[in-house]
Amino acid sequence: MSGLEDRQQPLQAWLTKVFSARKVEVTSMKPLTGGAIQENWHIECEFDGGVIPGPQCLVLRSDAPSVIAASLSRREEFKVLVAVNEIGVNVPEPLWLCEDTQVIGRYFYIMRHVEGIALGPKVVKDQSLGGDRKALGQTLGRELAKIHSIRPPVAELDFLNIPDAHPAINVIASLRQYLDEMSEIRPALEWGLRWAELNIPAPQEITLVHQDFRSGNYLLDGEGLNGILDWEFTAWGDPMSDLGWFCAECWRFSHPELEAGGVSSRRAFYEGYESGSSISIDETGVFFWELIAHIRWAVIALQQANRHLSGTQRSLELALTGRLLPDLELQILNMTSPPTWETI
Amino acid sequence: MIRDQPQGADLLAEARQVLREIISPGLASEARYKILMVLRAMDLHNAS
Repeated sequence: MSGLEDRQQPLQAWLTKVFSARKVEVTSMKPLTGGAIQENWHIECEFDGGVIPGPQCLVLRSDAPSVIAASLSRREEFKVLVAVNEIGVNVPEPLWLCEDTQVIGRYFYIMRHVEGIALGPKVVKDQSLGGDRKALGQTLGRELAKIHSIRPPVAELDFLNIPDAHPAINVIASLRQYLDEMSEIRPALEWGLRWAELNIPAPQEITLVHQDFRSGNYLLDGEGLNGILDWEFTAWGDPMSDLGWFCAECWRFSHPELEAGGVSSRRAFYEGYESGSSISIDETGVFFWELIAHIRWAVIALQQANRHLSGTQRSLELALTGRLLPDLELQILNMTSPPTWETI
Repeated sequence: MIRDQPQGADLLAEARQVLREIISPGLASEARYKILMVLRAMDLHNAS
């Protein structure tokens, strides 16, 4: 990650223009951790007049040197953020999209900086964060229900494809394709995909789905939830898929017994969800999507490891992610093992 | 004769402890996160 420090002057000029300020001085620019796929920079600046006068803490989010095929462009992600912000989902306020590559050399958008801790293992372990944990689980459930209240078609989100088949069928096909395109042979993942194919749940009404709603992608302070992050995988899909992703064991970190993201009971999370949603939770469907969560995370881990191994983006974080695979594969086998296996 | 005590694994365990208990607590969160990743990599190396 480099180069943004050299772009301070054009960035100031762009901020001055789009926020109708007399002058903008960027006083600090620091990269934020946690963006394995996108780059996030914390920017402090002083606006002289304009739409947001005075000192401001902003976040600049841009593409990283390499991207994952399934992720939205910054333009699309910005539009999603605007759509969910408008209906009151707790997100950092999106402010402006820049598609002029003269400014920092790539597309980016600006949003307000929100204080808090997002790192999954810390969010789960540090009980001083998030306030009362049962209430946090309920809040997260309600926030997810708000996201799922957006149904297609939505003109501003016309870049999102409306599934022409059961979303599960599409997901299985795309995961299988990702696996086929890689040189790695992973029998446990193939087994998991075949199990999924034979156990597709009843179809649900299609809604907006975050697709990465989990501990690690929301900000907490000592009081509670401050914002939901990382909208780059948003799509139209099965709402149960977000519940399954959130509850999947691989995202519970040091508290596997707290089935809702390692932060609360599943019951509290479900209560919050159903209090804010017209959708009834299909537990069979959630289990199916928990399995898919493990397979999907395993495929993403493979892709991230390959980014490191190929030299596209050397990174200890990406390299370590690749080492999660054996545990994920074991979880997949445990979730799908036939009863007869126990006697062998 | 080349002195080979303490062995590499013992040294690595000591180094791990210094990183985790002495260096890591004094670091800003971003650097601490990186140290945790280094510790994880050392764990994986030890296990292999």
